[in-house]
Amino acid sequence: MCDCPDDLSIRNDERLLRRVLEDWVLRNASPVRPTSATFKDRRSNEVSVFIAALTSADTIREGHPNDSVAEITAGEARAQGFKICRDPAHGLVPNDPSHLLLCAPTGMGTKARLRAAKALVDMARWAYLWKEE
Amino acid sequence: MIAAYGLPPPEWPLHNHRTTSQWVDVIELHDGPLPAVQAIASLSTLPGNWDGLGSPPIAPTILTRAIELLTRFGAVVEPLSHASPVSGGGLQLEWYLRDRYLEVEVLPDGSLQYLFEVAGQESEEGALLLTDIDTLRKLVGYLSHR
Repeated sequence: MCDCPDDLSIRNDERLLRRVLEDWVLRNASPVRPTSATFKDRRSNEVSVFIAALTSADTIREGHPNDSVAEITAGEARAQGFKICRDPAHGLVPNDPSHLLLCAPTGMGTKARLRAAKALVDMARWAYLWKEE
Repeated sequence: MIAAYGLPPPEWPLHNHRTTSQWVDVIELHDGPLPAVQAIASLSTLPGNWDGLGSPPIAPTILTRAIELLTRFGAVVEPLSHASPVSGGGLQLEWYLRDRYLEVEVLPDGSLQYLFEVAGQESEEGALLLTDIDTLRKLVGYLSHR
């Protein structure tokens, strides 16, 4: 559980990218959409995201060619109760300034996290949607 | 159909590149939810660190719990839309219908949570016990195609 304060130097209009695993893409929906599992982690309650202005969807997908990338804004994550923390130590490269964590606050219960993940995925846009050739 | 525990790995319909797993329980299945069961069973082959973030494989007890839920729902519900692994060791089942959405998550400890939405209305969330007939009946009503 991350216990950092919400980093308000990350503006609400900052675009954030989230890697979407192939198993998290609902291909038979119209339009194709990610599932809410994209914004869940039941072990750490942290969701790893990247600042779009400091990286790219292609960079995030390196080594994961079949994955897609979804985009939200920092304000959308905050509106669902997440704190946003910088986490350069666990990014794609050493001291990665683009890497952030969306953190579920300690008091955010299981039901609230379920609702938050669904709301976030409803707001998410595709930055890159992988399609089988 | 009966899904039985103790089957040796070659009995599983496995993808070649994934690891094997086994049932831990015996559950009678009718034909209706078979594609959904197969979708859940396919998650058994995810290796450790399947998400690149250190998640463990989906435990057989979690898979069994999801299939138990399907058997409780029976054959009158709409087909499952998607089964997804959830980082941390759980999984979730989703039904996307024209104006309704149901998500049931099996948490790593085996407990169940559901979220239900009707278009234009507040979502409803809660814990789901497989012995809670009233809630199960309500969810089946949401998903019923009869």
